[in-house]
Amino acid sequence: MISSAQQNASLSSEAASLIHTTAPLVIESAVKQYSQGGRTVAALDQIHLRIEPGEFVAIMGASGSGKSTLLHAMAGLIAIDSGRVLIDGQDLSHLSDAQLTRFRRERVGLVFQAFNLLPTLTAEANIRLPAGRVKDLDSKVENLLERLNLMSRRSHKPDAMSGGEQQRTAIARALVCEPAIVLADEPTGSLDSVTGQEICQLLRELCSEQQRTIVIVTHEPQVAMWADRVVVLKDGKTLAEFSPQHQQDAQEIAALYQQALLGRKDSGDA
Amino acid sequence: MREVLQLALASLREHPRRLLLTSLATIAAATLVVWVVSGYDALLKSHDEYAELSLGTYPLAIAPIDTSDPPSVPVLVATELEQDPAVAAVDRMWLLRTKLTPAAVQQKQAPSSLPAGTKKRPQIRSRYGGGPAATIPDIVLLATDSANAPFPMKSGEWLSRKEPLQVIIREDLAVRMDLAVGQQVYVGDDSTGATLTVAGIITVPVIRTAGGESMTPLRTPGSGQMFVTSQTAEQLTGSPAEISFLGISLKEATDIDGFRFGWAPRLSQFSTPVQFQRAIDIEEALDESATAENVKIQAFATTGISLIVASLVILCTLSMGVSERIRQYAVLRAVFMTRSQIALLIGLEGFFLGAIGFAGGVLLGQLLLWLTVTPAAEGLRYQGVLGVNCLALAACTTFGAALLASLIPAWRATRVRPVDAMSLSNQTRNARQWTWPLLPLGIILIALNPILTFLFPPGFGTQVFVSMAIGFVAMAIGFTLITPALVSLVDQQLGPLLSRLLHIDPKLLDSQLSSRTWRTSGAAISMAVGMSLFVAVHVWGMTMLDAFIPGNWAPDALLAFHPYGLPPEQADQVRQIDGVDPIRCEPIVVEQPRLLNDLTGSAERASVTRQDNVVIVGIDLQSAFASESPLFEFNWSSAERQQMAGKLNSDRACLVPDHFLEETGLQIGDSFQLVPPENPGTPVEYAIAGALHLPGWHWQTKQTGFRSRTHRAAAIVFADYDAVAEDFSLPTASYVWLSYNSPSADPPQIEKEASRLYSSVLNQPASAGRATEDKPGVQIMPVEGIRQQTRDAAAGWIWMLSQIPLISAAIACIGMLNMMLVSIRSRSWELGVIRAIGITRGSIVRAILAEGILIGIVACVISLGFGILAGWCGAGFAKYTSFFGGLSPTLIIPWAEILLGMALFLTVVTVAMLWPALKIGRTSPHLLMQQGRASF
Repeated sequence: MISSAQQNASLSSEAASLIHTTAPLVIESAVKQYSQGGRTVAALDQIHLRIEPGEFVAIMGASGSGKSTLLHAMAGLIAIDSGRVLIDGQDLSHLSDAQLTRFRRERVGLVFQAFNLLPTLTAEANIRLPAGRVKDLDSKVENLLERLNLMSRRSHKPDAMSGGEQQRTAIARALVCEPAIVLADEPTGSLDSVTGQEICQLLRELCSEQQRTIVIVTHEPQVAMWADRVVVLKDGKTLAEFSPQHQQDAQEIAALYQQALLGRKDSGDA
Repeated sequence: MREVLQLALASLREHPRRLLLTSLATIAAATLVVWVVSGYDALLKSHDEYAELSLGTYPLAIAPIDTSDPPSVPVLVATELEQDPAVAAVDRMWLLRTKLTPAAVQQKQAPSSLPAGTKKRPQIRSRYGGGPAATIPDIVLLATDSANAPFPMKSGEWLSRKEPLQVIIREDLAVRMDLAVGQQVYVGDDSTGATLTVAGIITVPVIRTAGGESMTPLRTPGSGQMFVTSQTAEQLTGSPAEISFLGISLKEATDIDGFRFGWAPRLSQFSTPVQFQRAIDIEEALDESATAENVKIQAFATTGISLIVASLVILCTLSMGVSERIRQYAVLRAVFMTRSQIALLIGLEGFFLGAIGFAGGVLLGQLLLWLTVTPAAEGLRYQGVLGVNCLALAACTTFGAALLASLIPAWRATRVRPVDAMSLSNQTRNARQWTWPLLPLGIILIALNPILTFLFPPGFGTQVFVSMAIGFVAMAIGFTLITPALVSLVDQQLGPLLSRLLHIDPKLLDSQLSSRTWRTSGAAISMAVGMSLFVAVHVWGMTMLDAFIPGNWAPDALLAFHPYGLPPEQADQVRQIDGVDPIRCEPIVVEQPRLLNDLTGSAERASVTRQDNVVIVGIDLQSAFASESPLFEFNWSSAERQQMAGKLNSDRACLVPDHFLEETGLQIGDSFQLVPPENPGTPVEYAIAGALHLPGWHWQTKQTGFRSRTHRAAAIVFADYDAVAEDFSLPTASYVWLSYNSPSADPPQIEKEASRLYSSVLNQPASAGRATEDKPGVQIMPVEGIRQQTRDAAAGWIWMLSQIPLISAAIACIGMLNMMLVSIRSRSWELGVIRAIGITRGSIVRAILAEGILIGIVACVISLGFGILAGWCGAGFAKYTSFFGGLSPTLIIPWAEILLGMALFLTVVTVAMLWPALKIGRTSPHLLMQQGRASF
């Protein structure tokens, strides 16, 4: 699966630096329940998932299927009720709040649907924000600005940038600390289809060229088709997994997704 | 840290207008502190300068260690020091208090037409200052045999031991009394004294306090206003010279520190331990004086008020920022920030606001000091100084306010969960759920203060302050807790009413305040701080004042016959004067004797140390109280009057105020003993025949000169004229107490007629009005004048005390303006839609104004509640902090003043709201909707 991702590399090899991860991202028997209107809802119900280093995984599912909850659990944003989330062999449930913050800063890049750039800061300042005293920060920021085609926008504040530019800035911010894993929650949800595809291509390149682990949550087949593997969730459970053919088979993804949902329904009904 | 700093600065820059308004409020608060505290610093600087000069030519002085009531320096100290080869001179100094009169106006003997034993009686001093020819009471006389003048001589020569009857006068005193070298002055009182020749005028540094009055003298050469030799002083006093302190001169090349360290241990071992006094010790003593302490308390009180107001304004700003950026904090938490970094971010924002306030406040304060004179510094050499205290308290106000204000917003921001970053909208938790549950808790806390004041009265001493602290803090917290409920109530009850008044669609105002409960509460509380103090000052002041205004019991006027009094048999002629009610006119004798026993507990209770005495008035009791037409009117039935007449028949029966019985535990029928000042070895006993309710006897006795011996008295006591005259050796009546025979009576005319009478009695000219040193006089003192003067003086004080609360309320208005701008900004989209669907610009403007007025009303409601309770409880506590004659004053609410203050306040609020209202009114609906969409 990783080898297929490399086919789409478009960035120069000089600009890209390889991110070496040693261990897979593992979710074991993850359970997360919410209380809603007096009844308990299982957002994650015994989820098992293993994501290899450098793999691009799309998590699909309908609203309420648990896909965002799963991503939040991977980022250490929420604590699961039972089970384990292991990143580089580290069980996130054993980390304190401060350790989780450090973990997110150093190991995970987060990309949000609403971009979540700070409106008071310029694009460059937003990118630099989480970096702290990262070594060679200036050159890294320059590389990111250049790679993400943000050079002309570096001094602009978010309200003076387009949606695509804002999301590219958000991705640059997610990458500035060189995390091994990038977690993206509906990264194209607030963008038009063309810009959305540009963002997907960018994520693909990051995966292929730098061996970063990319996990995106989406319900759009056009986004999922860029992934090495698609995991379909329903009612907090893994419904199906399949590997799409990159950039060529959005229709096929949609069909497989529908099939997975219907198949599960059929089997459930049966 | 760098990122946090960057973000904090960016957050502040995000809303320049908000930053400007918050800074303005903080700067104003700091300026207020600088302005007030500069007076304290000026005072300290004056002390510093005076301390450097007050020792004169002496590098050191030696005085007793015990400063409370220090005894003399032992003679042995001087003789031993004189044997030290390093010592050039040891000058013995004796400090005394005496009177100074130009010899030309020295008093004469009482006229022979008056009864034997008639003496000059003290005049009323409370209302009038002395002119150049008047006696100056309590001049500090310094007796010394020093060969050289301790200060530069302005003119004349220093004292010569060969010329004993000489005096050196301090320059300012010489100017004040128009004295020159070679003139004669009379030094001393009626019993002892002598005529001295002014040998020289000396330039001595003068220490002035805030009011321009001289301070309690310190044991330094600089305290002397007149200088005489020891021999002269002994002649003046009739007693041998003592040593109040020693002035030490050292030989050249003597190491002062070495000398001091060598002698210090020995000095403390004398029978009366003594110590060296250097300039620094004098400065310390001055800084700890009561005057300095009062100015210091004023400085701290202002700092406290300013700190609260500034912190509430900053709190509103930071809270609004947190509410708006709640999702940003979630993102920061999700991406890289720890909770402590988020807290630091808010803290830094507050710190920057505090820093701006501090810098701006100090600069503006300095500017104000150049332009004006602060009240505390009036009369001082330095008219407001930007000193250490100024800077420290301004820093306390601004940075303290910033720190306090940061706590809640920082806590709120740290509660944000990183996962909230994933949601698409700002999510703030609903605070309305706390509105009503907090109400009962708030009411309980508020009730604690009156309960502690009136149901569980504290004892005297520390317990009073503990009770006050608990009660007032609980009340402040209580009012804070009930504020959300008040916001809700005002919103629900007055919102519709205001809508009708301003012709606004009620829906435009509906729940606007309640939906932003905490923000509105914060703005209302910040404004209520100043207004509450304003109301409290007025309620407390008027409640206390009412108890001190002479009541209807007091006859219309007093005629004072100074300085010799009027033989009682001549008083009948006063009855004949036109305008005087001949039946209700009685001569009286007045004395202020000490109580033989400590009936008031003055020895145990520091606050009543001087209330160990009473004012006793000798009067014809039957005529004044028990006749058919008594001078003193009480609502007695004829049976009661007859009963009283019976009781007053006994020889030394007396009437006392009702509170005197309460405070002393005495009952009707009990007796108490008094010590006649002229004959202290023979106490006299009086039996209590009845108790009267005599509100305001305090000012009646103070302003009429009844309290001739000390400032305070525990009671006014009425007894038989002859008994009092005999017991206290008062052969003449010093006053005639009278009522007018008609409302049109003319007091000046009565005074004029009485002076003619007095002139004929004395066989010498007498003036109408105050007596002078060479001319007796008759002065009329109408009770209405006493009432008016008391009211005027109190009103002046009350309004002066109200200044800082009013200024702080105005400062808080800036905070509210800020809050409203944010509130409007957050509703831009909504307002744009309202305008787009056809609501007029005028309606929107009126709705915004109405919203501001409603917040102002919430502040007024809080202020009324807090102020009235605080004033009432404060008056209640006053009973325990000072004797106040054992008063339990009735609550008086000066509605006119309070409503005027509130109207003024609501006007300021409305004017402040014009800006946001008009701003919104002028913005197009399209632009409003665009602004509303652009928020993160």
